[in-house]
Amino acid sequence: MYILLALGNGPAHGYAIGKEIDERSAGRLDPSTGALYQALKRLTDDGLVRAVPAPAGEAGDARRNYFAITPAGRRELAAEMARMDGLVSLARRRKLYGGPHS
Amino acid sequence: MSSAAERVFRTLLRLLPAAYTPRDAESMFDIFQRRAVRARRLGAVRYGGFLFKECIGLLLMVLRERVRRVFSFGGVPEVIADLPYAIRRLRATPVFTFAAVGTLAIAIGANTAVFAVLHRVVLSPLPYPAPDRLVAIDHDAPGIGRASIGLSLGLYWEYAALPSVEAIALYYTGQQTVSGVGEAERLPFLHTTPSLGGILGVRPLLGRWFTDAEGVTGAAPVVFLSHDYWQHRFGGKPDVVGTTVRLNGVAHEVVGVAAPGFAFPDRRVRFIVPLRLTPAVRRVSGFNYQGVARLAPATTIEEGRRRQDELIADVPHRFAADAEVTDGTFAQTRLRSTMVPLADRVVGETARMMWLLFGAVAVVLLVAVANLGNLTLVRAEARQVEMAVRRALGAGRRAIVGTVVSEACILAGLGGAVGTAFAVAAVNRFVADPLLVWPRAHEIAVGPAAMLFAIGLSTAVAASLGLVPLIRPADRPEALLHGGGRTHSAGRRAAVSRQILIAMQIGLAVVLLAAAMLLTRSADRLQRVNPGFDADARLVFEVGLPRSVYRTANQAAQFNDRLLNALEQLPGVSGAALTSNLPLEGRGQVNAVEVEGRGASAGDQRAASLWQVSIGYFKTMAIPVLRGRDFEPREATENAEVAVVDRAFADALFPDEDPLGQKIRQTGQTPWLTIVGVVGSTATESLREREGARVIYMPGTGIHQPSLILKTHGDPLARLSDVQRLVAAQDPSVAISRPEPLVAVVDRSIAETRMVTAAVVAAAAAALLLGLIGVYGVVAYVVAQRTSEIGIRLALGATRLDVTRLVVRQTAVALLLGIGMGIVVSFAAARWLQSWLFDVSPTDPVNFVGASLVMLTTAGWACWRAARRAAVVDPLQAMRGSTSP
Repeated sequence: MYILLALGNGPAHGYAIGKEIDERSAGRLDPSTGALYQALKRLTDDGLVRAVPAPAGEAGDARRNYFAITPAGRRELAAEMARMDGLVSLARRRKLYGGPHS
Repeated sequence: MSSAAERVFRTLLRLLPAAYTPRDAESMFDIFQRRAVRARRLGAVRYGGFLFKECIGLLLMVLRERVRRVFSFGGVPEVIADLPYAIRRLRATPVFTFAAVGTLAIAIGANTAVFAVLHRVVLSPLPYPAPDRLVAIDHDAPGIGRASIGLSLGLYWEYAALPSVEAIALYYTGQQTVSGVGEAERLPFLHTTPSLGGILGVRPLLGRWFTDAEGVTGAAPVVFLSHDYWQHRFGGKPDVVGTTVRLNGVAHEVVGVAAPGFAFPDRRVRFIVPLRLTPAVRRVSGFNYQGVARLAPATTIEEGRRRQDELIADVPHRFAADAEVTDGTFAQTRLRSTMVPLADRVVGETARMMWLLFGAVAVVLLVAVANLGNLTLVRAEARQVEMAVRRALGAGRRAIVGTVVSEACILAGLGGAVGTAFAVAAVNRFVADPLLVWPRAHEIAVGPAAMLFAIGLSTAVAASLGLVPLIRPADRPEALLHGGGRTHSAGRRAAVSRQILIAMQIGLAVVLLAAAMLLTRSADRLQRVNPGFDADARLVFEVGLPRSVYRTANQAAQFNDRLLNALEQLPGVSGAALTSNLPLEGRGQVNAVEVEGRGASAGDQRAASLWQVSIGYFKTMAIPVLRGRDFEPREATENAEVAVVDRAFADALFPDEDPLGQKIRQTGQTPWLTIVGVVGSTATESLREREGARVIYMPGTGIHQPSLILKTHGDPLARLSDVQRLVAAQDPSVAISRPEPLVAVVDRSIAETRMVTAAVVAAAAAALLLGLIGVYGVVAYVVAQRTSEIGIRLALGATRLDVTRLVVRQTAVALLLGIGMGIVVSFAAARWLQSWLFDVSPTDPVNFVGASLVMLTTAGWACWRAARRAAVVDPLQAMRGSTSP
């Protein structure tokens, strides 16, 4: 999920994805290179992500694989967000959760 | 310049499965490098932690990916779909298939058979209620040098009152003459207190078990039949309860028949009679019995032993009136409780033997799997081009793996099925032998546990064989197709895998060879031990004189003397004698001995056995008279107070003086006996005993259950029918039992050692054969692989010897490595064989050198033979064609 979110802004390479996950989770999620790449590979196999050439303007290292989210990936992400949203609303209605500052 | 960390990470990246392209690997390395730069800024400790996490994370990821790919070959549907193709492939190579199935059948069959016995005899709890609380009651008496002395009546009654004991039973086994059912027979029986029924949860098939009242002196004689005996003698007829059987001439009423599975203490017992005791009579000594008990709930064995030892310490108070207590004899024994779980007592040393056999057959299985693994690898390589074509045409990795696995499944499945059939036949044959004396023999069968074991083993074998070709990373299809066979690096890696498997097989075979040599030398030494008498051409048997007819020792002596005279007149017989105890059948009753003039408290009172023998016993048994003389005929009839002792006794009690003329007696009992002669010691319990057992011989034939020895010309058993006729003619109510040649008695005492040795030798031979096949096969393959190279070398002037040597060198390293590893493992494991060894040290270098030489010469020969094929390569042919193996 974090990977798909990270790719929401546009194609990125593995290192950047990892850095974004680390920042977004406030350091709680810090997968090793192996684990991160395995996840990327799985997402690619499942068609939610694909390898793309380096975007224009990022000369970068020819070694790097860049990844971009696919339309299927976007749909999957949207569905997952909708599910979480529904859960948050339910929690709010039941006064179990008032928001991040409650 | 890359740092050490980067080099390590790069190396780990090489383990990635083929689905990860080189570009993926580079990408990952890039991520790692950039993260490393960031981590270095956080300090040495954090950097170290980062490196550790990255490396472990990568390793785990590789493992996950590889496992996922192996087990996601599509599962059962893919394997099943490939089965017809796999069957066709296997049929196309009948020699390989037959050899593979045969090898696996033998290996899996042997493992299953041994496991079946191991499971029932050693691993399963005893078939009685609450088996973990059942204990065997025993004592040792270090003060008189006795390690296992049994239980006495007096202590039985005292232990029964202990709170740590829920129930206790007393028993002993012996032989009685059964008459009134067909012809008279002497049969093994069990004499026990009625409490045994409750302890073992006896559920009779017919009738009932004994009541407590039947265990009291004066109760009517009753008998309980074993299931086998009821089937065999009474034809299994249901109305046997209430009928009468004569035991030693006394009529006993049959009250019950045992259920088929019941056999205590073993299946030789034909019937059970209650011990009739008088509770008021309690003597602390008279350790003639065995004991079994169920501990109270939540009582441990240690606590049980402790309570018994406390009671023993209290004996002077509880048995204050006993003569043995007042004169200090009891205290001298330093009696201690040696209570053990009943299962340990029942199974005894057999457990260790079973584990040794299990280890040996497991090693053979490993060698077989390694052997087949190599052959499978070779086959897989041979089909690399075919695989590459398949992959280029779109077959996923799953399909490729599926073909390998389905072949492995067929081989392992067939091998397992045939092997299990072997195992069932072998185990049934083993237990059907009526002479087999094996703990819990009546429970042994190839049951559900053994079947599951066979299935599990076959599955493991299938998995191992199926996975073997996957241990090397697969090559890219394009490279294979262009290269016409293999790529260089994959070829090298495959060669390394092959050599490792060869080394493993050789190493394991060496371990078994060394063990086999050790055991064979030991068994040989044991067989050469002089038992102290001549066992050849001698027949032994027992007779039983019913006390109802022969009430006194004199009456027994009259019968025995008449019998001996008649036996000596038989044609083909050159000597007859009689004894109360036969060598190698136990020491009999052992008691402390006094020497006149030394006083009861002088030094360590050595225990000795007292045997009664007829005149001519030593001559018939060819036991040499070392000093003094043999008995004279009048001494038997006059009950003269003389004794002949064996050398062990003389050396122990009279190390510095002449024993002749000295007076001895068993403490507090018999009159003083004058020693008139010293004879050679005989083995009393086993051929392994170092010291003789210290025996005092007295002349006389007033024995009710003597063993008789007949010295014959020619085959001793040829005289058996004459003997039976003669005994029946003297008295039809007297039966003989256990007739056998004396050599059989000697053989039986080393039967277990022989069996273990034979099994390990067989396992070693199997492992050696498999190892040789493995070496030959692999070298032949290497020759085939390198035919074009060999052709070039020959064309360029190399001699045939040179190319042969080239080929041999490759495998030689594996051979030497394997032998080295095998020696190291054998050395470490040798101590475990200690208890089966006799007169041989487990670390004797001769064995290791011997095993290495055998392996070196045979495997070296196999290697050379296969390599010779290189010598017959026609260089022109070789260079012309690109070969496929």
